Amino acid sequence: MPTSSVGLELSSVRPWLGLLLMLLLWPAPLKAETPKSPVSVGVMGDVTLVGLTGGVRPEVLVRPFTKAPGFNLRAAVGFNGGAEFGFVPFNVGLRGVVVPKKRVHPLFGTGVELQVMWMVDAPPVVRPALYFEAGVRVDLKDNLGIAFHAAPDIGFGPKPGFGMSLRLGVEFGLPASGGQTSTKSEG
Amino acid sequence: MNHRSHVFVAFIVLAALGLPAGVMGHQPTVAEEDIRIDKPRISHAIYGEFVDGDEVFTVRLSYEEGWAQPYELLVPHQERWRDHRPHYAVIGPGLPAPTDDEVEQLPVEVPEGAGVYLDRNEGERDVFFESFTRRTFWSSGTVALPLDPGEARIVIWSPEGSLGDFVIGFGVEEDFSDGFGDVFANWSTFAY
Repeated sequence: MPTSSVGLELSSVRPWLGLLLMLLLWPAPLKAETPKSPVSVGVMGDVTLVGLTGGVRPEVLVRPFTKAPGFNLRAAVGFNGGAEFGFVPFNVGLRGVVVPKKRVHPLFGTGVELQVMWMVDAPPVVRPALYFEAGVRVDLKDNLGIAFHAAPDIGFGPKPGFGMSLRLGVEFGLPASGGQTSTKSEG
Repeated sequence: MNHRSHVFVAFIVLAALGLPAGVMGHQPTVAEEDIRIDKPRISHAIYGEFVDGDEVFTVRLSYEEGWAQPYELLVPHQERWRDHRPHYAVIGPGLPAPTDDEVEQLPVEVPEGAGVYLDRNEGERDVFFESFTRRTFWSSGTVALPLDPGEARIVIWSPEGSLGDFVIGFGVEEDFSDGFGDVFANWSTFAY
């Protein structure tokens, strides 16, 4: 290694006379990988802009494929209150995280929603809907992040319509049960 | 992004762009105390508010030929407005002549030759869910009125002086060729 200065003192007074056999470059710190859970939970504050309601929308994200850490199955339920009705949406869908190994993750998703509008003096209105979501998650720690979602939806059936939900909250990974590992992949 | 990611994002964008195609309903408008509707056959929903309680809102309509269409007065289904029951009257050619009691209750004079339909918004009201803006209203009930050609008007007032919002709905034809009115500029009026 005549052109390398690896191992030399800065003073160069006592040059190193050893033999360098191998030099390895590693893309991440050399430490044991932390077991990660394939499941994370989000607790999102939720505001609907069409028919103003506010509340919370807890969600569960499951990553079934370790080799595709940005692919999530999503289930959520909302509990919103408003001046004219209570809004309870049930969601099942998919969420894709574009760059799951970065600290800031854009995300996109879609799925189906069952929308229940509870009213006083009248039977509830129940309608199926499709929802779409786009947003971003920023990791604060390895298993904790904050997220913002904008989620338009379109409802079908005899009472059709559309909506828009804005959500802000936290996502955290559940403790791992061991086995599955990844370097940084909480979608 | 890989190929599958591109397809996934493209699907979401296309679906989002398709949302407005499904939008149908009343043409929303914010009420002024005296407003003229150029296309009275189109389905309209005019949103107003009694701030002082003594306002008389007038919606002017003009028909070149006889026309029958439904009318309905709505109040947002909010507890604070449970006793808010504005009245409305349709005044125009082809309707029955007003009774003395109706003339006494009307806040405006009835033109010569015009008839009157007066809705006192009494009794039990239906609860109506407007699905496009996700609003819930008490409805005065829908009534279809045949009008002869000529000038007509809808008058809305609050006889008890109660304050609060109302919506007067009328018309049958769905037409948004002139756009969605000022719905986005007045989003809080329509959607909250």
